[in-house]
Amino acid sequence: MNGRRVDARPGEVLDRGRSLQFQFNGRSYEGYVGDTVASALTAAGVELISRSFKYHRPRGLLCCAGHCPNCLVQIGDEPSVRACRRPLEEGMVVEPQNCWPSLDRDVLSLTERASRFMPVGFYYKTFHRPKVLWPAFEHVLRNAAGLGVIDENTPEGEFDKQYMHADVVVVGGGPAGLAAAVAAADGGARVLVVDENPQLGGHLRHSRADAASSQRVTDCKARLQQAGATILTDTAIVGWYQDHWLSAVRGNRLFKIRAGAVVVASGAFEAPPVFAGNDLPGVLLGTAVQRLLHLYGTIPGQRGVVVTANDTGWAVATDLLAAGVELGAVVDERADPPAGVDAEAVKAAGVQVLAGYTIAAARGKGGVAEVSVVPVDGSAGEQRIRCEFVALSTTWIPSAELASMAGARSRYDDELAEMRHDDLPEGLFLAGRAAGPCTPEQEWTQGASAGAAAAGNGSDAGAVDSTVQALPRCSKLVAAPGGDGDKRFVCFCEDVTDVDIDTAIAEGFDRIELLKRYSTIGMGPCQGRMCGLNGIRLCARATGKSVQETGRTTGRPPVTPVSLGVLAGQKMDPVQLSAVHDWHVEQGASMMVAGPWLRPEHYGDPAAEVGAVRDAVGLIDVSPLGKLQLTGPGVAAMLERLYVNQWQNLRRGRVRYGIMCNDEGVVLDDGVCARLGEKEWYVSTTSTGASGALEWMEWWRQSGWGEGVHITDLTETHAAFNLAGPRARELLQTLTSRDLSNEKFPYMRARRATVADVPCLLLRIGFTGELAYEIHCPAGYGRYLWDTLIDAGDPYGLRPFGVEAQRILRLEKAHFIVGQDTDALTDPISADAAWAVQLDKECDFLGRRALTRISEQGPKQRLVGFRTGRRADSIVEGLQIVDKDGGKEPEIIGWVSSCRFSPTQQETIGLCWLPTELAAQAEAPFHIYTEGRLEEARVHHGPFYDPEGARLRG
Amino acid sequence: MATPFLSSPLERTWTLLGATMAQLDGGWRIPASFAGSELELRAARQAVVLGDDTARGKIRLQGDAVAQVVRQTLGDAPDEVGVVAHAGATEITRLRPDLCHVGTPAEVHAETLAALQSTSRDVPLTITDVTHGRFELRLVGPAAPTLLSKVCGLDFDPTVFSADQARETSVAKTHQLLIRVDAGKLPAYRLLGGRALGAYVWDTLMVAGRDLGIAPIGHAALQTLDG
Repeated sequence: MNGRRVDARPGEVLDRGRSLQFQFNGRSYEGYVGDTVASALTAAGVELISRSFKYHRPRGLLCCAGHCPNCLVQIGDEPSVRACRRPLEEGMVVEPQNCWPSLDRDVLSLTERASRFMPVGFYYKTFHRPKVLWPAFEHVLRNAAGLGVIDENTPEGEFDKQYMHADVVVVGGGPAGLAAAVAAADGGARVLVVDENPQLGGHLRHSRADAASSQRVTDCKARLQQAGATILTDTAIVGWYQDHWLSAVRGNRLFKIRAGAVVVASGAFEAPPVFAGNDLPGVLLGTAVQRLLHLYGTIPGQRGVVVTANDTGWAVATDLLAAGVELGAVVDERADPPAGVDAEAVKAAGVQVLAGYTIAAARGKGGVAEVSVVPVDGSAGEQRIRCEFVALSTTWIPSAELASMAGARSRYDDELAEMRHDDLPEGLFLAGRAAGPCTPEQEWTQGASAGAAAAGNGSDAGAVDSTVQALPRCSKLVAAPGGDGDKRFVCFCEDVTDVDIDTAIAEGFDRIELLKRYSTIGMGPCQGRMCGLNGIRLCARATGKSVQETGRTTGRPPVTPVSLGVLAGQKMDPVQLSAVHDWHVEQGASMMVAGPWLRPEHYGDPAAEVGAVRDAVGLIDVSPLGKLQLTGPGVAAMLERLYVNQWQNLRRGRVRYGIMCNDEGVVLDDGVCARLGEKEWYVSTTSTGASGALEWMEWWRQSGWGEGVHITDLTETHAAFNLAGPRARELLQTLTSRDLSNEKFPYMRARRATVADVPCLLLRIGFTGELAYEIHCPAGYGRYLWDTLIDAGDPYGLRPFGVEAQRILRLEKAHFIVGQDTDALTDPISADAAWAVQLDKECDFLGRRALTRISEQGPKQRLVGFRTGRRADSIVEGLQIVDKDGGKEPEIIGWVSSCRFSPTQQETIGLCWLPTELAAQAEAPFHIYTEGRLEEARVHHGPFYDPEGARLRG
Repeated sequence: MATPFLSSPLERTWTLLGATMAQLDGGWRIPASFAGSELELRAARQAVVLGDDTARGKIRLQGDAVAQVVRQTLGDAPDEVGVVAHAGATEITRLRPDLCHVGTPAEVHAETLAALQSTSRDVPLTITDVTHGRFELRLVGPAAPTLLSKVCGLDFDPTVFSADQARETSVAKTHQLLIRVDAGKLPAYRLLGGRALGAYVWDTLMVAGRDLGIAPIGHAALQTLDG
């Protein structure tokens, strides 16, 4: 033995030939490859690892299994790392958290002296008054609260997700889990084994396993490998969801697992009893001691006391004796502990055995120095035993959270003093120590039975659900009698004591769910693993109910803490790019998100871009426009039903603007439809509404409209550019042999043409109010054609323009944009597009009934243009329009939906919603509320620019 | 005036990766090689590679007579939805009883399209050339199923999703057609999605495959893999 390191032993995970240097709390230490941070610290004699959440009490290693909050530390920029799970690395810098100025001398530990003023739930009742002091309170509380430090400059981590599928998922790689996995694999199932530890073997890894058991584990691994089973170690299952959908975490990866059946063989874990000073460093669970010893060749001290209520405590005692540790006593609350190999070994070593006793208190300054043990029957006979640590093995909790999440019924077994799970949902099986107390051999047989049943080969009824013959493993004591005034902690995460529980219940929080929420018991990093059963028992004792009547809180994911990065996974934010995107970027365009697309907002000077379109020619990439090909004999009839316009009379080669409404007459989308052939139509939709419009059409098509109609989405198949401006024709004519004269290719017509040797569809339409051609070409040619147009346009003063210029240009024409100037209640009549609504169409159409009613009654609000006569940059979209007449408080009567300064009109113009009566009066003044003052504007009817439309038709 | 060329949505990516470019007869610009065929083939056999096959022809056929027309024109058509049939290097995938996707090598695309149009002249069938509207990526290698399981919820076990099967599914939160057509003994998948999403899907797969040793593969090495 070397200090706290014992001689190397079979099964330990250390590589003693390779040492590692690391720092903790500003001091240098040494460990071995294979150590965890906590095992290395323990080996170095460090007991104080952290400070508690509320009282800043000193805390040391408790569970050594990643369950409790006692060993949370900060490593680099990562807060709240469990030191008992994190492998040691060379040069690692480990810092304590939640202490100031240092771990050893934490000033905030003074809060414990004021604990009488901070009872359970104090934060709900204090700091409310006087209100003026709240900012000061908040500053102090925010600095005092929380664990660890988040570094906002931490670079983005790499996180991802992976989907997995299996016929049978086995949770836990111990004896029961391995037996289940092998049985399921032998039954022909595709098996996935998930275990939170680095190696399979479960509790056999850290208990005194015999050679036969070790060989059995090796054989199982080989069999699983042969069967092609997938094994995920270091992986924690964190949740069960409907239909056996499991989530699991390994490192920075989240697994989403679809299972045909699930075998929960995740074993059991120990929880500490409630006694005075039960949080002192040096108070450890028995399995923690075994882990330290068998995995890391480390003992927690030279002299200890073992406190138990079951046979495993005796195994801990003999393990310690074999490692050369002096035992002050073995304390068993059972009056007549059963004899066995371990008991004989302890007695043979001359260790004092106190049967019918339990621990009442642990004492020491900064760590355990002695314990008091008392008779469990309350009689006199307290004994004080000097020791450096105490190993507790009194209560086992089945690790069956997944069964609870899956809807299994919890039942408290008074005989066994633990929760059992009945009525398991179909396809979910419990096996081994997660199902209840069982002998080692029973673990194997139960597992095999459950595995076979999960694979669909036989029933495990009886084998899994039977009350096995193993001895009880849980103490029946709610809390140890006696104690000497120090706090008795129930919840180590939130520093909740048994007194706090009693106080909360006295205040009326006497239901377990209420108690949890008020006291925060079970809401910390352990998620109730350490405190769950103790809390329920204390609640039952205080309310005079049985544990069964008290019930338990609802089990919900996650079982263990999960980082937000893991939940987020790899960044996946789909973004659609046009065929010309690279050109826009190369030109330094300012890009904007437009629905799923990235589009150029402008190329540096939107006003100049407007000017180019008005005076010469501009080119805009409108590829994001929705483009649908509709073919079949029933297209026209279908469009009649989907749009408010008429379509049957549209001749080949012609284009018409259309508005699509839902059955309530609300505008869904708009665009143009071109009739390319008798049975072939080309329909455009808004950029952001493309997928919605396609779904809407498909819905009605598949519902029976449009017999023989086929719809094909060509949105991404065709790149589209709009060439707009008085010189557009001249420019385009240089690239095509198609006669573009107004006579041959007038406004609102469609023509197929070859442009720069590329087959194109040309639509003579425009949103800008100028002579314009929308050029649709196969997207693969997009970049070539764009480059060609740009080059050819140079002599004509061509300039690319972006979405911002387009918005100004369309506003000058008073065109509305669906989704900006309309909302989820807007009908086309209110939106000043009554001209498009053909109520007298022969066939019925979506929205007809609603639009007929609106037409008869008249809309209450109307979309109308406004002008200001000046540059008014303070008027922006979304502002309210108010009525200030009568000297009363201004009343909201409308709002601004679009607004820009028009370079052409040299004034701020826009579209707004006004009451119909006001909207009907051209030049009527009204007021826009902006930044605490009122700006005057006047109603304007019709386009602001070229109201006759001579330019776009020219 | 320059000669028209056809570009995939990944041209900028290739430039950044330093690809050696080539141009196919039909005008498509393609990455011939990235790190050299030998290295790319090794990556394909040992890990996973991602290539761009957007230049392949893509034809969509809609209508009740789809199987009849395809069978008459190409000699074969799958009877079941989600199954791929082969007619030489042309692949026919049945997406619905009335919907087929036909993928062709770029060099036979035009003639295949013309043949299908000719056969269907008197049949109520819509044939659309969607070559330009879809990117087509190729994922090849033993780690390809694992990589896909990081971006797609499907079960890629060969007993569930075997060679010559296809699924329309969500990949990296985008809608895609996933076709498994193995390259010799190596598992290989075609991913077909909206062209505008090509760069996003490529980048997402490259990030997701980093820990699997993913590498880009050029057209030359892809052809070698396909034999």
